[in-house]
Amino acid sequence: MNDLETTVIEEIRKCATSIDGQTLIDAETRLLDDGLLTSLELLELVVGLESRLSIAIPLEFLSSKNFATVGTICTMLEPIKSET
Amino acid sequence: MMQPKTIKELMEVLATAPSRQVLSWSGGAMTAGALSEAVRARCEWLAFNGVGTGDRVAIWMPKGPRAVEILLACMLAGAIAVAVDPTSPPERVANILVTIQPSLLVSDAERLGRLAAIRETAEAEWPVRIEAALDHLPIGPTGPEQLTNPPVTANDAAIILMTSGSTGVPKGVVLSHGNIDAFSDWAISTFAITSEDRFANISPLHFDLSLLDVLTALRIGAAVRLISERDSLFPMDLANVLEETDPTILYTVPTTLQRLANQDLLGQKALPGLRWVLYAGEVFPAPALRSLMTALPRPSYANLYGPTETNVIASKIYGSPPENEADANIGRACDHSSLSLRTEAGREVPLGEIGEICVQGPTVMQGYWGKPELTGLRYFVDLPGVFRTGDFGFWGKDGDLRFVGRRDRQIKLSGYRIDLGEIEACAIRTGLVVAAAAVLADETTICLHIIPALGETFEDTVLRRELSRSLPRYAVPARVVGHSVFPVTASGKVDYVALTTSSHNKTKTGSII
Repeated sequence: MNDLETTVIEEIRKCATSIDGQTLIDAETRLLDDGLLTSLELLELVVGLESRLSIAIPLEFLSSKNFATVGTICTMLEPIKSET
Repeated sequence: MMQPKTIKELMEVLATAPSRQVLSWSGGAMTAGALSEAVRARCEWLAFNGVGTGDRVAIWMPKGPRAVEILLACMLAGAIAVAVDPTSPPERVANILVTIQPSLLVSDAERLGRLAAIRETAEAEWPVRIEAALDHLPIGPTGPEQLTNPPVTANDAAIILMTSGSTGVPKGVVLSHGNIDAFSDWAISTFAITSEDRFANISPLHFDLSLLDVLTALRIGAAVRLISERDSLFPMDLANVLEETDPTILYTVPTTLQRLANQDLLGQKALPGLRWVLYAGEVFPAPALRSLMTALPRPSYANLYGPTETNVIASKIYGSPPENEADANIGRACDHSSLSLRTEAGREVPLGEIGEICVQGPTVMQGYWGKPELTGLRYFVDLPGVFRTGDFGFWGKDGDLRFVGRRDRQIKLSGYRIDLGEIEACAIRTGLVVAAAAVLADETTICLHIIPALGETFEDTVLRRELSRSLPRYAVPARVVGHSVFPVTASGKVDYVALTTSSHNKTKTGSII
């Protein structure tokens, strides 16, 4: 697991009320299909990631495809991070 | 004996044009003929399993064609469909099951697995006779006999919609076939709905808005696109689905429309067929409504008002953007309803004065399931049939009704009705706190003030997580603030005004003040 994945998982754990300390989250965990994040928690996650990584996620990147798993979030974040 | 119109006409319409596509969802579609066949088969399956008139069938599954088939099958069979929020935690679902005592629970294997853990530790007798996993749900009867139920009448209960209750246990609003018919008749006539219409069903099936864009739409033979919760999460995804659907009628809560408008997504999408934007469930701030109407000027707009217990009883149709003061304009009584504004004693208030909005009419619920005393509280003792909505308003000089606020501690967030008392009751039940006071900190944030239990370390994330086991996700407070004592009023009661004010301050979540 790389640093970015670790960061994303930490931010998910902060905002997802349905996830407890024992819940396993990895790159493939389905965040939306399994109902781990609500719409409000998704917003919190976006704000948390932007603050933690000092980036701004463009609105057009906010889609269920990009937030489906930790892996897809990291794929979305990589180019944004490298541009800043 | 009056026959129910909605389900009867719906099945007739499906049979009239079997090749017509009436239901679609992400990745699939269904013709009228296929839907009709599936509904009848599921109806026979219900009868085969002994589910008959008046039996409750809890439906706890994601929105999709199977859920619609079972909902319609229940109505056809005379059973009472109870659509349960698919995102509800198992503890809350167990509470609902205990309340409504269903004969049958239809869900999926994963959800039933989570519920099984609750059942093993439940103190009360498990209320459900049969549990069926959607994944293995047979399409028809599982035996040779085909049983039939007695004919359904308009007075029979059709659907139970669960709403937030102050004791921590949700209340079941019982709507009869006649209630649904009256609303559906009005909607078809008011919005001139025809079989050429296309509906985008954004609301979940357990939300009363689906009575229009699923039941009424299918009754008239219009096409319904079921939009999943996942497709509604991000405005961009929702806008894409809407563009693909090109609805003629869009019915949702202002929050959803504002999210789309804030990113200018509705302006970008052509939506050439859209002729009505209908909204309900919460106040649409006038500036936001004006900018939406400017970005999307072609359709007409209507604000539909009414609590779950009455469905829509008043409406305000806008031909042009409203002025500032119009944000709480809920218009005039629907044809089917008679509205009055009354004092606590039941007397009508003079014109221009604030009173409780009361209604008489055929859309008013039969009552709360299993709670006749609670139902009785919604009526004046000496005014039979006059239902008290719990909302307050006044008649404007233009003859339109203005909404002022609620009598109790219920709030609306994204169209969901939440009783703040339910949050408090659930917080205390965790054993982590000795006192709890929930307030609305701003338009979108519930703040829970608590006094931790002796010996408990105050961890807001732990409490929020515990609450998510018993509350629907939209009701879990976004912020928790700990106190050593609560501020009190002169009469010694918890000072909710002071707590609301302190919620506005930038108190860090998790701190003790």
